[in-house]
Amino acid sequence: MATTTTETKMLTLCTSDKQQFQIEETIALQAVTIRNMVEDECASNVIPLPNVNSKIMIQIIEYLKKHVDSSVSKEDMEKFDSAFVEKKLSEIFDIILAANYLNIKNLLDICCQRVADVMKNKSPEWVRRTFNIVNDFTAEEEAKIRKEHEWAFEGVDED
Amino acid sequence: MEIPYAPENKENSVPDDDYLQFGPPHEAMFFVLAYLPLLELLAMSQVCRSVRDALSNDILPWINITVYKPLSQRLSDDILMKFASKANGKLTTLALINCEKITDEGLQRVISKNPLINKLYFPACTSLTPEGIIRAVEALTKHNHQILHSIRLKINGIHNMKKDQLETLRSLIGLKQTQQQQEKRRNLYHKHNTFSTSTFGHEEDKCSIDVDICPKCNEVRMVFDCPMDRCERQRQNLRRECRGCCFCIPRCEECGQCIESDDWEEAACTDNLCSGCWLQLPKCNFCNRPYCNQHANQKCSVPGSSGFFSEASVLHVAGVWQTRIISGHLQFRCYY
Repeated sequence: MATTTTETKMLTLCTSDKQQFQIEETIALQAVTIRNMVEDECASNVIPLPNVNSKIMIQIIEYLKKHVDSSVSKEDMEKFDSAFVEKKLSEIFDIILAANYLNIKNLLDICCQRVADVMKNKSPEWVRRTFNIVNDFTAEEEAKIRKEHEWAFEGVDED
Repeated sequence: MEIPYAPENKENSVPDDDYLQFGPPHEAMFFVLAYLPLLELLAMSQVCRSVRDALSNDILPWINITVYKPLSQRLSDDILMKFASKANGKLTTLALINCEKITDEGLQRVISKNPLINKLYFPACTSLTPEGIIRAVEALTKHNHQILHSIRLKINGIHNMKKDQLETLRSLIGLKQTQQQQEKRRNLYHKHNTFSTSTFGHEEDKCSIDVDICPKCNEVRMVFDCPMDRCERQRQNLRRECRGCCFCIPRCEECGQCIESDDWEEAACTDNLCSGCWLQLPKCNFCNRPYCNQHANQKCSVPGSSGFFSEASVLHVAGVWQTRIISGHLQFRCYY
């Protein structure tokens, strides 16, 4: 990824599909999971990340590289973040799992918020259709839960 | 790990084989629950069993409760209490936006069971009184001094808030006069509306109380600063800063800059715009007025025509058309 210089310490991350990424330590240490591994010295030169694939890792490194840069203003960082989450929801979901595993709080926040924004004012049927979720309620269960929440659902978008 | 997915945009909605594979929710969905407002949580609990069970067994989705329109109009004290109990006393954010039915007693009941609340957002909760809010904050800070400095209040739109009541609230949450001065950061008019789009709980907010005393009219209101370093007001009289509530200093809805009396334009949503922003925004085909970005969702489009119409224009035109139909002058189809 980056060229090695003598001054900056580099770390090598190995993803689930055995791709290796060499990045500066300061960038990688923003992920609390990696920081703990390095501090505990339980990882040698290569840090294995079996829960993250290379496709997602590339995006996470892009995010971390931007966020390590302290010269970026708050507004520009917000702009970067909102552009960063403009991805397909399937990708966002994978990034959420990776951000949770790597323990990068802000990344988890912005990705979850992106999905939450999409779901704003949507019906259960819409959520099932959009996220391919099977309805495993029995008719009785569904009627019961619908009755329970009846007070809340008037004027909610059907689509 | 590729999970089959229904595309959300029309342009990539080519159905492939994966498209029909319905199954249990993606694991990441359970992380998202904690970021959803109340209405969406209720909708999610009707989606499938695993989500319903997560919502009834886990505390995490219930630590931050946010209620917006349209649910805000239906939220009663009893219903609020029911959901506020789901976090087992660990509720930290209570964001009730324009919940008119919530009363002081209802709030007090929630507070007494949830001593860890530190974000109390009640903008335009018109049934709450300044006394009720003071009582709530008193109850929170009495036994727990650690919570003191982390308390954030949004109370814009609570009627009849007096200056001494604001001072009481400030002293309750440990804000001293000097800190208040230091805390003053630029509060920008055009930025304050954007908060409503994201969940309050995850917003970084340094301001302890959203309202302040307007230096111009001396009332308790939201006070805004000028986004420009040197605006006309400051140039004319450096001592009189461009800082005040929106009644004293009208501001452009888009850029937050103060508007001189002869230099403003009205948007289709009746907000005020500076001429610079007015020129840049797209206009209604009929009345030639733009919408500010916040109300852009009110644009009405008509099939077969580019651009948009404002709601007022559509109603006006429809009215005229209707009259003509009745009087038999014209025959045509009304799209609205």
